[in-house]
Amino acid sequence: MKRLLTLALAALFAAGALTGCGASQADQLIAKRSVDERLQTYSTVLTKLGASPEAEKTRIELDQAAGWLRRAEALSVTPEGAVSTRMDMLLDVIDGQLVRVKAEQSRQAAERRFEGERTRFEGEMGRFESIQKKNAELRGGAR
Amino acid sequence: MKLFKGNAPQGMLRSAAPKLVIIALASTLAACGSSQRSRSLQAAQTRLDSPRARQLEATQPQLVQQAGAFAKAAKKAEERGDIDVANLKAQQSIQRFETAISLDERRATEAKMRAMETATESLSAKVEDLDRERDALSKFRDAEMRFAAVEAELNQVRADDKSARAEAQRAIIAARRKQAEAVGAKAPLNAADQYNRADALLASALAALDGGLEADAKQLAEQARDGFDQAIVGAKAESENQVAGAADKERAAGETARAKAAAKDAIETAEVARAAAQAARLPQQDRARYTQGETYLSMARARFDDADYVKAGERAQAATDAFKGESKAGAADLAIRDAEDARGRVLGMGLADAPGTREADYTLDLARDAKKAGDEPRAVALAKKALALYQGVRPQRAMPPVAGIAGPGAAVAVAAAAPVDLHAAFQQYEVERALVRVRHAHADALAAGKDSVCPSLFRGFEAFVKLAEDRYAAGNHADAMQYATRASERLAQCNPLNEALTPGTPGAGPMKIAPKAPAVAEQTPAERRAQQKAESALVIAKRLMIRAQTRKVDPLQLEEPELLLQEAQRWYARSAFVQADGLADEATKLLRKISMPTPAAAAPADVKAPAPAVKAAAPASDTQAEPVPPKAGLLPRKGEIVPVATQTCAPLQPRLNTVRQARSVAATRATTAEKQAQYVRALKMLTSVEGLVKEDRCAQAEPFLEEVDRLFKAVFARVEDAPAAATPVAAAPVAAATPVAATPVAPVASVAPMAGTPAAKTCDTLKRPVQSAYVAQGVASAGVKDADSRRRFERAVADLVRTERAAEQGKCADARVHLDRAVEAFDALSGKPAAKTAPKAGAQPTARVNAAATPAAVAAAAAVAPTPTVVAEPINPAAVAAANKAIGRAESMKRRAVSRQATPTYQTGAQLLGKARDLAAVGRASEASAVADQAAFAFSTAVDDSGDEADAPEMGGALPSEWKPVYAMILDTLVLRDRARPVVKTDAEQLKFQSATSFMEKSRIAWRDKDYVAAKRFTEAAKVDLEGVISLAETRMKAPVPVAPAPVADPKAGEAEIGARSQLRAVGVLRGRCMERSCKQTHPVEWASADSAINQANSALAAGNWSEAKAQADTAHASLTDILNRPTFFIPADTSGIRRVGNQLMLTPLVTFTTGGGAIEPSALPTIAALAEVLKANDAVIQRLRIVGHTDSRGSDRTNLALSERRANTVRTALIDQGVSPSKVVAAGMGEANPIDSNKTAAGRERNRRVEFHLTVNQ
Repeated sequence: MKRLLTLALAALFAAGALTGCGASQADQLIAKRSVDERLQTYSTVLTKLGASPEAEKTRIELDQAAGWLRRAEALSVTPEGAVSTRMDMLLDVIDGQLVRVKAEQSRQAAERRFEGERTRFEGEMGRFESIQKKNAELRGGAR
Repeated sequence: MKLFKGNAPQGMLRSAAPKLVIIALASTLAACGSSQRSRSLQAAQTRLDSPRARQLEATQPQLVQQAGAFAKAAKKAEERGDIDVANLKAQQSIQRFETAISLDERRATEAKMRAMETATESLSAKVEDLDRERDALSKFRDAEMRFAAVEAELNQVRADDKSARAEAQRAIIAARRKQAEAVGAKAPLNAADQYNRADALLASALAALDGGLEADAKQLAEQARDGFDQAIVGAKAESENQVAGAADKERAAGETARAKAAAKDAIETAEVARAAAQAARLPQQDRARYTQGETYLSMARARFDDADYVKAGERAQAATDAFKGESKAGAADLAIRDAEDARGRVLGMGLADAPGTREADYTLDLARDAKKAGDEPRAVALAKKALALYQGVRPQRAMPPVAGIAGPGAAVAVAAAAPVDLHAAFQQYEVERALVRVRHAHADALAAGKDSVCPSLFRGFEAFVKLAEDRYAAGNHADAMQYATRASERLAQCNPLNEALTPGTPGAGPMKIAPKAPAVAEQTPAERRAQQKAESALVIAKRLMIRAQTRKVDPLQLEEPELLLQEAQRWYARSAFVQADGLADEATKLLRKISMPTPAAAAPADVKAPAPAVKAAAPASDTQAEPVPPKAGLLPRKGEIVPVATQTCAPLQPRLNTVRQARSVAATRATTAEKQAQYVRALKMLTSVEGLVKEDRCAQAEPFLEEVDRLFKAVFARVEDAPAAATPVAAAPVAAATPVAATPVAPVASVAPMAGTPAAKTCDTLKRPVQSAYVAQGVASAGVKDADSRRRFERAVADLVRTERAAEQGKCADARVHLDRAVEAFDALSGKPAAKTAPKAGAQPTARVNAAATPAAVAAAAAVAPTPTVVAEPINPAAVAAANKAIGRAESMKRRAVSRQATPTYQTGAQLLGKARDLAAVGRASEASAVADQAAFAFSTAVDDSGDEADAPEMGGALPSEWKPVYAMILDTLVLRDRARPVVKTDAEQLKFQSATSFMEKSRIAWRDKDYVAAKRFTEAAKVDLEGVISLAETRMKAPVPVAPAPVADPKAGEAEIGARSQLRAVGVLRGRCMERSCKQTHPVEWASADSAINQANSALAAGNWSEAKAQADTAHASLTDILNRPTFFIPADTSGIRRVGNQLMLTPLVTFTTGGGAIEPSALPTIAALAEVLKANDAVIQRLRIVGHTDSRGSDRTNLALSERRANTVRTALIDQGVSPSKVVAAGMGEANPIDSNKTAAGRERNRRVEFHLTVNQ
């Protein structure tokens, strides 16, 4: 009887391991892959933003993001860390930082375009005045 | 402390030490964490508490809310003691806040930039206006000098002078005054179009005056004056509009201020409502409604910042409604409002006419309709779609957007939208709009009287409108759109300038002077000016052409200007106005040269002159003064060597000078028609004499010189009694206008006596035979080879002169005898059989009189035959018809080859065609037919050389393309032989010439036997010999040339100029071809050399150094020809299914493969074989052929990549199997990476499954 009981318990444990525990591992794997993908994406975006013409003025923020990214990468090495709430939070912070840098860079780009437009306007104004003067001379001569 | 200082044993203290250290460290770390925490949190909180946060709440509410939420979370974490989380949350709060600031500032900067852009554009428009005004003023100042000259000229003529020229000058001056008035009224700025049009008309008037078209000049000047009048009115109206505009602006400013105040009120009301809603805990109770209100409020503020106060007010009202919960607007209303808001932005960016906007407008209309019909979901979907479309509107020009390509937003929206066939609906909408536009245009055109101004165009327009409406009714929107567009184009052609210049039947007649004007909507001011200039030049050239045609100028002379004019029209049609202008100018110059008023041609022109005597005699002089058409066989061709005078005839020079002086005197005294006729006759004889003198034929020249002298003296001897009040006939530079013939040309016109004399009726019948005899003389001159033939020829010429003299005296029978004798001699010299009397078809006897006929019989024959014709062979109607047909065919081919007019092949064709016409004129139909066939062949070869495969020639089409240049070389050599023949004099030249002739004969035989290599070799040898002949002759003739003392223009100089200009023109054509083939990039060295030579040629031309210009043009020609003759990629004539598009080879049918496999379908194998043939034929030219396989998107990436590579390799292997060099073919697969169509449809997928052939050729 005792032997039978032992066998039943063993079978129960085996079934549990095959079903519940296996599914849990699969979920973790998926989550891990998702984290890796996000980290990869952020790394790419960070490189891209760092290479943009406006990168210098956002260097501090970019360095900050890079620090968080390194931290997240270190955390992702462990299975527990990869699927932890802290990892989620870190990724959100990186995400937010990248958005912030992007917004700032787009603002700077808009400023630069605006300056270009202003220069163009001033050039046109110069042309306008010079032609106006010339026409006045011509009109005087024609009459 | 007691524990440590009191009773505690030493061991306990030791054991507690590590714990104490840990506690100390922990508390330090906690302090640091606390410090860190407090800094981040403090920073986040400081930001949230700043005034900036309140501003940001309006513009970026979501981000500010998120920042607040994160700060709260950070605080909670801090309270929990989770410092790391607290820090991260605080950082997130800072991030949101900073992002909000950046976005807000970016929006503000962009708004400023838009304002700046608008200001810059407005300024640019003003600068452009001023620029136009400056151009107009500059032109005006430049024109002043010319007007001053015209005014001065007018002052010189009498006040009561009613001549056409004076009238025209007056009209021009009046127009000029009006122009000055228009400039004063700022018309160049405020009514630029009208002013420029009038300015162009005035320029045309001046050009017409220069060209002697006084009536046209007057008409144009009057139109110009009217145009300036209109411009003044327009400018004044514009000025008034501007004043009114300023008032409107003030009014608008008041309205804006009111709207601003209203919007501000509305926003404040909304804010109050929000506060009330917050107090009523609306965010907790109805979060969606509260958020909606927030959104509207922030939009209202943004609109307010952008100065769109009306929208701001509306949005603020919507926000108030939302906060109060009074909004009745459903989802559809909200979506429609959003779309309307986006529309406002698009319109604000000046994209009202952008293609996507119209589609979006239409979609928005559909959404409103759906809302009205109560179909809320559909309305929401359509409104969202409209919103996405508005967001996808881009300022660049593009094709009308269709679903899926209007932008990323549009694509998303379309995917989400209700199943509507948007493209079809949009097309229908477009057609409707186009139809409405053409109906409006119809009404406008009727109001403007265009139906009477341009009836034919208007009828065409109406017909197209009808067709468009019919197609629309039938549901064929694509065709309807096309017809509507054509209708608009047709109506646009009814240009008042063109129509005003068309006399008689406006717009309908064959005299359509101005060609189809290209659309002007997209033109820059400079282009518009260039177009107007080209149009004027074309009008002038065309008018001169018509004038020349009505004056019956020799068609051969008109050939070149006609071709130039056609070319100019072609360039004009391609909107290449500068080229068109240049060509038209050249045509005008040539036409002016041709129609330069020689004394003969001056008589009809003087009909308008005030001298009554001349006016009365005009009809007679018109007939008599007909200039002798230059004979094709007699005139020196371009570059032909004209023998120059030697010292042999030096004794005759003083007498010749005396005669020339007599001519000058006679020119001023020839005041009546009779005297003019006599003068003209003498002048022509003088020309002949000069020709004889140049050829050292002094003995023949001497009697003619006496006769000329007598005639000139007779002119001013008779004039002694006549009043000399009439306008003197201008002594035109005849020698310059009429090229000197190589043989004496006696006056033809003098054969016909003056109208009204008794002899006129009888001897008039001889006029045409005499003309034909002169043609025969031209043909016979080529047969003069030795002393005997030369003597016979001169005797025949003398007979011809006697014919005229007898005809003049009314002795028609004698004239006939002399004529027959002359014709017979010419025929004999031409190598034709002895002439015999042959009756014409039917009972009508010919006037071809046998030399043995008695004078009585001749007289009888002449009396019976009203229009006798000199014939050289029995008239065979079939042969004549065949000849006419052959000439027609040749002319047709000539028209097709007109673009190749600069090539020697074309010129050979033109010569042959002229010869064929001459032969046909003398009745030698069978020969004319043969020569015309040769001409047609030459033209067809010229067309072939142009590489236009579609325009395949009728003859020679079977000739392998690689041998066509050889044929062209043979033709060139034949031309060279014709040039060399007349200059052969010495034994050495004779020997070389005979050798060349022998080589040419061998070449002919080889060509007939299709031994092209041998033909090429023989032709080259002949060419060398002929060039040697010409070189020898040139050296021989480089003896010192006596300077002609008389003020006669040197015909050689004119010839040299024409030669240089002609060569430069040919170079221009070659350069154009070369540019089309990117020679500059492919052959930079040769191109630079050619360009430099062209520049030098132009400089030399400007300096009047014709020979240098010609030499440089020749160099450039050689360089460019060399580039163009280098081997290029070609597709053999017998190959089908292969064509080259850019650097790709397109195969028809396409290469297809077995499903899922890499094997070629059997149906595609012939195409592969054809491709292999093409590649082998171009082995020397092809550098590489890249075969690229593509698949559709079905299946995995890896499978598709492998499949595409396999297919490309299969094709490569098949080509190598067919003999293509493996090193030149590479294969690659791209999988599904590069689709050319949608993968969502079967048709698109089919297009995407393809193999491309990318070609790289050696340059």
